[in-house]
Amino acid sequence: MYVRHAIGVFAVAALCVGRPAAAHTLTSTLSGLVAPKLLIDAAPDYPAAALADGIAGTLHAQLELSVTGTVTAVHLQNSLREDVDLAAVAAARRLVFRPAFSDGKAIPASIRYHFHFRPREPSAPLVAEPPAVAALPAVAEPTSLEALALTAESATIAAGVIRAVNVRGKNARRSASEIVRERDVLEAAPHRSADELLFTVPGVFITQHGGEGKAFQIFYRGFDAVHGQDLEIWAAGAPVNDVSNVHGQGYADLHFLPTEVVKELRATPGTFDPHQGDFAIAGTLRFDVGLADPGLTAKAELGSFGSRRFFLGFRPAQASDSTFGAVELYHTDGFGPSRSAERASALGQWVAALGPEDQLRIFASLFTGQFASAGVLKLADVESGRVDRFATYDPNQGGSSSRGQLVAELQHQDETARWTLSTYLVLRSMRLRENFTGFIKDPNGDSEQQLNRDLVLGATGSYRRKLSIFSKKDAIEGGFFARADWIDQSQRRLSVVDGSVTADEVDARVLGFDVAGFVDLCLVPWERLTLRGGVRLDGLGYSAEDVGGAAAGQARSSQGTHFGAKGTVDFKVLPELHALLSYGDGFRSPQARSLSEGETTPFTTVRSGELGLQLSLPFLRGSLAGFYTTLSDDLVFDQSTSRNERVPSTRRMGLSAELEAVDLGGLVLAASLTFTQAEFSASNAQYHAGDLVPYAPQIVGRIDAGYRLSLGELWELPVEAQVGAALSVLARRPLPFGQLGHDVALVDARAELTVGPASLGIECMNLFDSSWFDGEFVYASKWNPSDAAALVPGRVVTAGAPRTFMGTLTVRI
Amino acid sequence: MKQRTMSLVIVAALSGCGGGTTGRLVELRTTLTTDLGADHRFTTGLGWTVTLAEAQIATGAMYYFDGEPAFTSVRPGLIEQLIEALEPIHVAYAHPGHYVAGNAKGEQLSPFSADLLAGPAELPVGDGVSGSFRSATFSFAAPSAGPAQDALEGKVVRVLGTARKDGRTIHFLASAGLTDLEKTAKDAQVSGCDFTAAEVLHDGTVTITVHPKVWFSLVDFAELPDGSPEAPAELGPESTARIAFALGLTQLSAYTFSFKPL
Repeated sequence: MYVRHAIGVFAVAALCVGRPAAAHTLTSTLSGLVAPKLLIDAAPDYPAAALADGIAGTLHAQLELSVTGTVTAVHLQNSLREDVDLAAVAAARRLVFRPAFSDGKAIPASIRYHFHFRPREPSAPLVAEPPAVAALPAVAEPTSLEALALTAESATIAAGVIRAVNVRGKNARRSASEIVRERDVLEAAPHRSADELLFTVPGVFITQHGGEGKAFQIFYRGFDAVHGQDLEIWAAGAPVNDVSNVHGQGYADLHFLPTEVVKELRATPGTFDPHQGDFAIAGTLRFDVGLADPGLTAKAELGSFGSRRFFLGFRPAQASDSTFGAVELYHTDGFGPSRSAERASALGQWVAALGPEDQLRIFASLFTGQFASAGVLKLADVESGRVDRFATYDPNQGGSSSRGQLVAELQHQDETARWTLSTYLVLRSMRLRENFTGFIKDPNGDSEQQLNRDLVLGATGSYRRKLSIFSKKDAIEGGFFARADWIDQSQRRLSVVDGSVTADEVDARVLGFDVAGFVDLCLVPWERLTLRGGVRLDGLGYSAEDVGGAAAGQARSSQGTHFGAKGTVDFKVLPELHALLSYGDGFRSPQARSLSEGETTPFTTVRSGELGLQLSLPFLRGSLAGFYTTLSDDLVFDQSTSRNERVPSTRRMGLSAELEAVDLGGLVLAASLTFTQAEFSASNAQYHAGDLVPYAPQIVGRIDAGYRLSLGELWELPVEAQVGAALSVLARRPLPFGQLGHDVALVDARAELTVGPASLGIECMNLFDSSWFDGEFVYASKWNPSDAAALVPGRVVTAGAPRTFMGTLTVRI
Repeated sequence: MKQRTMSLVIVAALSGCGGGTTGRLVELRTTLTTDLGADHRFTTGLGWTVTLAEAQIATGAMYYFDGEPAFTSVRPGLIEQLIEALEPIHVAYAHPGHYVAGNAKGEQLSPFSADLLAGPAELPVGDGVSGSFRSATFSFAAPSAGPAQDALEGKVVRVLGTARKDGRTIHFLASAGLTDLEKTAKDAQVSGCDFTAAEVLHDGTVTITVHPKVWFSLVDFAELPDGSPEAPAELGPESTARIAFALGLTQLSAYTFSFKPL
């Protein structure tokens, strides 16, 4: 089942006739009567309580439009339920139209608008164009108000522009802390890349220690997911995680997504959903893409440190926001030596109706980026002033990344069942050159070059149909997942002096397969009680052949299966308050090179549970949840190998709270705070049971706030101001050897003034110019080859970015 | 009531955020001293009574490990037991290649130079990790820092003194450079020295005690001319005395380490 709403046929009410000409402040070169045209769309939020209670149907509304195209009144002609009605009214008030014109002058208008509310499941992100579009006759251009009214009257019945707008239905929740962030929150504060949108997810903090083009390091609910090892990430229907990446398992680079095309970010913590697969240890993140504004959007940005960015996007006026094309070009000189970066990305998506119940989605993207990296500094050198905090010991660090992606998805929906079939192709390449230790391992330098190339081919599918065991809301879904990876990877040590290869450490070809099937049930035995859950069976197979390095010529393979049970009990305490108890088994695939011949149980297994409350009021929603997770073994970054290495089993327990203001006029407010204790539950030579897991922060907080205000008109153009800010906090970051990292508090802010189709804005990252460290580690390093060897660990850091400004000019046509 | 409840929840959650990661980094002050008495005098196993007038040393990196020290206790014969009864210093015989250092637990990396007769010298602060300290590596380095670097004139050890035996007094000047030491100790490092067993849990001071008597334990001054206070007899390059002196400088038992918490 899915959600959509559709624009109904417009009608110019007779009451518009005879309004004083003085009310006409906009003019148009168009002659005769011109109907209003939607400029800024706004989809209603599907109230969680209504979704859970199965409230569905169509709301018919009549909207009064002003001469500036804003909605001045909303009249509902029927009702579904109060919270649903309010959601529709709130969305309607955010709509902005090009006003109706009569003989070139803007006039008030009244139109009909319909909202279809149907719940949507996560695997069916889009809705089909209504088949009625192709069958409807065209509407003749009216020549007078009366004729327009008459024509519209008949047009109401027989014809009109019906458009399927972006689907925003929220899936049935699997846990109390599950959350969906939409554009209003995503756009409140400035973000330089799609990765930074993750800051809006409760419990997430990200850092960039390897240069502006390297995948971010992600911390989430007590997990140091490094570059993605503990987070399953999907974008536009394709997986983002690299399997067995030589730098780190699950490496996920999101730089290919411009922020403008992210319309929704869904975070599913834990591993409670049978749809979740590999890497869903801390949870799953899904990016849904689309372009907000119809027409052409061009944006130029100029900022600190030689930063410049150009974005161009287009979206057909008659298409939903899911059909679009976009390109992004970006360059920066960087805020210090060896910090330059540049990237180029082009992407597009096309959604088309194939019939009354079927739709096809095609997504394609190409991305390339390269970056320099300053690497680490010894904290003692920074604090003593021996080096500047933005200096670099080894200026030859950096890398490049590229990604090509093609996704094709077929979807069918009728009254009783829904199925989807999707296939994807991803081409990935990554090159990194990093030196974490200086001259510890090799007198010629410890610079490590890592290359990883991956061809990914995969498919997913599901079939969902209604059941009638306890109620009409019962349903069952079965599905499959398949992914194959062909990987070429290498790691070589390079001389710092001349870049020559001094050691051949890894040279391997890896073949990986992941095939899974799942069954997911939804049963509602009582109106207050909903049971969701199922099972998932994954079969993984790997073969690795070393073509170089110390193990040249060796080949091995391993295979295993993982069975995962997942379930959620959702109890409606009050209409606005739900209690949820969730449990799930999950897994993470291993680094294929680390496997032994014939190994049959190669996974890291995870068990997670959560108990929480979720609140949904008309103007406020929030959640409070306690969670507990155990891992059979874990991965911690080892600087001596420049990779994540296996460590003993761990457990995490914590508390997560979040609030979001809903429909408060132009105000956006979202806040969250997460506490987590992550510790070892077993010992080895290096770590002891009961000790904290290094690098996993204990306290993460975030506040996003934004406000949009209409300022009237200028030169007969609507004027609007928008301001926004965010506060990100990270505290109690344990480091090895009993150390604690520096706490971080960062404020980002933006302001924008819009006059008609043009917007001028300014963004500021790190508003108060905090001196902070985004990467902090503890290990031995030696940065002068003539110095005595350092054998004892010491603090090494990467400096966080200073205050950075970016001016933006946007034109929407 | 609701506010109090929320406060309790936050306190409970925060209290659970305690604990630490495995191990601890500690700061190690480093002191260099000798076991010489106020008269700077000792008698070697060869019967020479040596009185030091000047003694400078240039040190390099010091490392501390959790592996057992290198020297073993050689079962002494009757004469050796008699000598041991008269000599408070046990002459240890290292077995190169048998020493297993184990995990590095601490270090002091900065070069330094010191006047051994001027009292305990404070070396730059070193770093360590908590755990068992059982052995150490003592190293020499070209003099580049510290109060005695000028007096050393490029050498790593310089000793001025007198040696008396059987009524004869020899004024001597013994010195050694890195090349002298590297003939018997790789990279001029003496690995496997004894570190008095210590469980280091917090910051403290590592004391390095130099035993000059071991330096001269194999030196027979008889081959030297008497010299004078103004023109002391130098241990010539490639001379037996110079070689014996260099051997003494690289004896494990010439340096012992200990730790005292703050």
